[in-house]
Amino acid sequence: MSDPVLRLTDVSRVHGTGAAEVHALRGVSLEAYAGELVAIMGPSGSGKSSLLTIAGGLDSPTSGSVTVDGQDLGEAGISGRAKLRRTSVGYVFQDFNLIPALTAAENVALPLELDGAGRRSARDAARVALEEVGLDGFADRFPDEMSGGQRQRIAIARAIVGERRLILADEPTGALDTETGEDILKLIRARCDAGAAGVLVTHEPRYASWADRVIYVRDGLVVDEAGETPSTVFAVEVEG
Amino acid sequence: MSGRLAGWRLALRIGQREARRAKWRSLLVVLMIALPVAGVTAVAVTYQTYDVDTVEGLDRRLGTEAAAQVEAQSAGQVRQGIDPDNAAEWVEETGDGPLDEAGLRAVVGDRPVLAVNDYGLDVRTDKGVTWASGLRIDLSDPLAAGLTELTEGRLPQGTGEVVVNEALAERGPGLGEELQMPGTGSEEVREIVGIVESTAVRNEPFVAGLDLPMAASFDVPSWLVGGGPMTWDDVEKLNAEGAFVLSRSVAENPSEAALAADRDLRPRMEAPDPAEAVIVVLIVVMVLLEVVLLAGPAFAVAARRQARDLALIAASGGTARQSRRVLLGMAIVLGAVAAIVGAVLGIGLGRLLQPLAQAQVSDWFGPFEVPWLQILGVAAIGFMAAICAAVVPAWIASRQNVVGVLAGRRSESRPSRRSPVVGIVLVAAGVASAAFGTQKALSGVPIALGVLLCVTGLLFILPVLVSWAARLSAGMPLAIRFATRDADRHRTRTVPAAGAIAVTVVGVVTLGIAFGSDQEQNRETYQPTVAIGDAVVQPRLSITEDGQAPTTAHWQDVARQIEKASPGSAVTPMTGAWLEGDDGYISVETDKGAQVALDTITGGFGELIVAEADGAVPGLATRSLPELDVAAAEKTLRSSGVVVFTTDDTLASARSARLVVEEYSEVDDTERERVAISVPATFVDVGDRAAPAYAIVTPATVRRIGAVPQVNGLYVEDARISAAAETDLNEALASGQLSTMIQVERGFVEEDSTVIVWLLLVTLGGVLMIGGALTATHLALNDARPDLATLSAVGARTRTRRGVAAAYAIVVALLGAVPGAIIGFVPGIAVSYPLTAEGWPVRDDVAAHYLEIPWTLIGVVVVGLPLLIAAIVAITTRSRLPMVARVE
Amino acid sequence: MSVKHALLALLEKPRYGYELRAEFEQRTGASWPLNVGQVYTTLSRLERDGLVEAGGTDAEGRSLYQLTEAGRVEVKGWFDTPVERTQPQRDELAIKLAVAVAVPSVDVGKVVQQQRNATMQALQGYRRQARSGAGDDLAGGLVLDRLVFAAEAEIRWLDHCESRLRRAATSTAPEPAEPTEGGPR
Repeated sequence: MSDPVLRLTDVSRVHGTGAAEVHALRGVSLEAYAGELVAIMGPSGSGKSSLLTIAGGLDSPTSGSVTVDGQDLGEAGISGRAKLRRTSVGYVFQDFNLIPALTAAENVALPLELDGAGRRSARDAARVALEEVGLDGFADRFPDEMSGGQRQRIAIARAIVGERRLILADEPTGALDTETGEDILKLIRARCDAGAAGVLVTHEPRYASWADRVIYVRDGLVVDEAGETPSTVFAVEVEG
Repeated sequence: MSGRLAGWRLALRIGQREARRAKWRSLLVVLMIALPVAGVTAVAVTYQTYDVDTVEGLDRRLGTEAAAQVEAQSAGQVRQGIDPDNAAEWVEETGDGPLDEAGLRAVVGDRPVLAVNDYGLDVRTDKGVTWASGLRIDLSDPLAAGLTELTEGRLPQGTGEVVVNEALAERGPGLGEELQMPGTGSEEVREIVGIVESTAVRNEPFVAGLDLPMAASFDVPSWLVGGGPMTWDDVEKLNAEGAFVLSRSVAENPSEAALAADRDLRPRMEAPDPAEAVIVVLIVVMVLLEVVLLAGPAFAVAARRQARDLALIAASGGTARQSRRVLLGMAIVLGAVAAIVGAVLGIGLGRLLQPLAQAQVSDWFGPFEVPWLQILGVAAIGFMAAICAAVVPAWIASRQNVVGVLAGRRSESRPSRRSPVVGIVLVAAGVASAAFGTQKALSGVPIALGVLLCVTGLLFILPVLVSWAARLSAGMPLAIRFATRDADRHRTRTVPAAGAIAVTVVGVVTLGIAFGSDQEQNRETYQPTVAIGDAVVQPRLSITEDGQAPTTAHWQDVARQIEKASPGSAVTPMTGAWLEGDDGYISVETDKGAQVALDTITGGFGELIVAEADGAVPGLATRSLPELDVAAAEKTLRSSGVVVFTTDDTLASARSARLVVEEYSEVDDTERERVAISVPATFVDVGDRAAPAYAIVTPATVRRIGAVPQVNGLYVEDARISAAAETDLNEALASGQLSTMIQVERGFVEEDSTVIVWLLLVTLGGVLMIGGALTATHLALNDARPDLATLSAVGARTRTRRGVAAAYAIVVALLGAVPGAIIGFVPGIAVSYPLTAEGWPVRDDVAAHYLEIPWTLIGVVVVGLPLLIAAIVAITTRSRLPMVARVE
Repeated sequence: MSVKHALLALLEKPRYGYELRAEFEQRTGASWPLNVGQVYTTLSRLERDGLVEAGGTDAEGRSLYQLTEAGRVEVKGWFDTPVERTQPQRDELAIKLAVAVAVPSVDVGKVVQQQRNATMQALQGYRRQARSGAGDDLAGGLVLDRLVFAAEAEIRWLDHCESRLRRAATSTAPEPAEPTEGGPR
């Protein structure tokens, strides 16, 4: 079995100090392997989103370590983490977080362009990603001109553009109806089946069930886990 | 009614809360409005304080004791208002001569009377001679109390004693030293026994004492009168004797009759020129527009922030008007705060800056005064500016797409198709108005109106320009693309910000073209006095007026000084023709008796310059007219002829001229020829240039017309004197035995003030542009926080935020500066017409119009300043991108 | 639950017994397997009640069944009547939890977690079925969805139970109930 794409080791995160101290995470360890989709479930305030922001390098743990693709995020520094987000990690938000001033294709091409890719090649890659999420005709539309499901598909295209190894999705179906949500999960699942590692934060069992493993988080701790062990999943996916 | 009020009450309450919640933005609005209000208020306060009216000025003119000042002006009767300085009339010029002290006493009875004279006189200082205010009075008399305040030494008592003020003492003659006063025949000397401060004169030289030399021409008999109040009756009695009266009691409590006389005699308040009034109004409108545009973006952002609230109000059944009021309520709150803060700040500033302002002027300021009515007006305009700035965002917000807003869509609708059409029509009207303004010399109204129309039109066109820019940005780097599109999506924020910059640039470019064209005209029409590089030395005016004829020895002395200062220069004395008495003047005519056409003469050596006896033409003429046929001229002079200068080329073949001395008789108010001679002449056509004199003559010819050849100056060829050396030399020459001055012709030299004007234009434009662009950029960045967070989440480098910020700044600056500069050409070119219209004298060679486009200035404003602003923004922006971190 | 009515409805078109079973299983996504004996028993009862009748044989000599007029009425009546909501399907789970709360020696939290893991695995199983193509036709998809929703509802209910249990534990005990099983795998 190869190394995990994402590895969180004993990660804690404390917001604020003194009386206002909030323990978002208390020593969480987690691994996500290539080809695997891990769902994180838990009620509001359980720390599941903190876990994701830390995994994406948007926030730093108070203690513990995070490695993505074998690279330690703490050692990578701010610019290193930014580089990682441009190239290896795709992030999908509940409220899409598309830039309204940019067209669909430009939003998708954003990480590549930020990484210094040429406009032409970034745009071609964006087209491929848009095709993958079934929005090939929408390249020049602005986010405002699209439905919620279309917008989230754009966001997913942005998260997968340029062969990302890790996809982090924070309640990506939160603002969508069940059927549209299922479509979004299908896209994420397909990407994982194609070899990426995925971490999905959700509070809905129906979406969590798309994952190979479901991890329950409560009060900043992993309390339970359902699903096959990663090794069997890995074997199944590789063979199937 | 109460219902309507209740509607406003809700709006005001929401407005107040929103203003308090968005502190930073509210502060911005308040500053944008309060600062100009404070500035204007401070100026108004300072001016009101500086301005001393009759009542405030009584103590300066009467001291603290005297009841009135009486001035025996005329032999006949006079009439006056409350203050003879403001309202006076001479009724008849017949009579026995001005009132004397006995006559005064006959009118005023046994009141104490003290003679007083104030006038100007020359005093010698360490550096030379300067002008001083003189007050001839017995300062020890009780009636003189309050006119001066002794700070050192004692008051003058006997003859030969004076007091001076600190300003004069600092320049040389101090306490215990001698004060020399040249100029009135022989030099007078007095001893300085004290230092005083005058209540009337501040930081200019002042000398007082009873034994003060005074030229007879200044002797207007004048007295301070003590005792009880001088009534209006007393004033009228003295008026009948030809004397003017400034009475303390009349000034403080004018009677009906006094008021009536005042109304009657006060020069009609020059009915303000309607054209001037219109221009003032237009300038006020432009300033108001600028303030509105600067404050506008903040309200646009407020409207955006409140868009959801407004949509909810609409969704729960609120009318568009109620939605508008929420934003207007905020404008009312902020406008009121800004107006009050500005007024208070301005009054305080005026008070604080009073000593500084006082130091700039020579008059004492009056008591600290606040012109409440004017300040109220200024504050009201500031308040209106806030409302105006909120009107457009409020209007747009009240008509927003409720569903879209509630669904979280952030963009604005497409710009209206009608607005650019309106804009183009307005600009066209502005251009037409400005073009019309060029037809009527010096009529600024159509041009000023044109500016306003063009600028307003531009504001209508800007939304479309912003949209075009967004479309053009498709191929640009990410930061520019992002900034331009975002600017387009928030046009209510972008347009006023760019508009404020555009208005500024229009102003700068207009003034730049106007000033540049003016300079160009000055350069092109400059007429050198003498040949460039040469210099003339002439007596200072005040000395010749004394009638003292400088001797040749004097001039030799001066010439030595010049030769020392400018070694190698040829210094030659210039001789003019001097007529005894002051009632005759010399003219040159053709042999047919017509005046010889000539525009101007320069050099200042008189109508005729006198050649040497050997007929040599003076350097003055040969050097400024290099094509002059010297041999022919000298031949004419040697044969007792004259060389006549003219601009009339038809006279070239004429061979004789008439020299005429005319005199004017006051008795029968007629002119007549005293002497007229005919002489052989050579006519020289000077063309466009100024002639050195009417004619060059020989000493013999001068005597034939009853005049005397007399040296009246020096001509210096190739004066090698720098500007600084010229100043020093002039100071030395002024205090010489014969007080003279040298003037070196350097051709057209741009004055220092020119550079200052350019710098001022760039600085003013720069400050306004930077202010506008910075606020717009920071508002935009604040607005774009979620997008910046997204950028960060997808891995933007830390410098991306700086790039985006700089792009915002440059986009707003360019959107304002480029159209602003283009529009600025319209009034700029228009105003150059009346400004450089033909002046006097009319010259054929002078173009009817000069136009100079200051490309450097425009380049600095359109390219340089936006780049500077972008650099400032890039440097000052925090590079850290906001992170999406939540506390769960 | 009426296999009887389902088979009746499928006899809109004459079918023989084996074909009927295959049709049923295909439509319902093989969720409720039937054996052929069950099918023929049901058919004979339906014939007895006059709802179906034997209608000849096909080319291979298998006897076909078809609806009678009464059968048609019966099918229409079945579709027109909503399914009655009877007792909750998983009585046993509800009873188990209710009893577990009452018995002090049992760790209720663990019961909940075990059940939830089991249900989640079932849910994942449905997902796998769906992805392997079992739900590709509309009828099968709908049945699968039914199971997904039911399992989802159960997991939510279990989540809810867990929350209530924790709240109850906090209100009785001074210390918040720590999860019995924690940490990563």
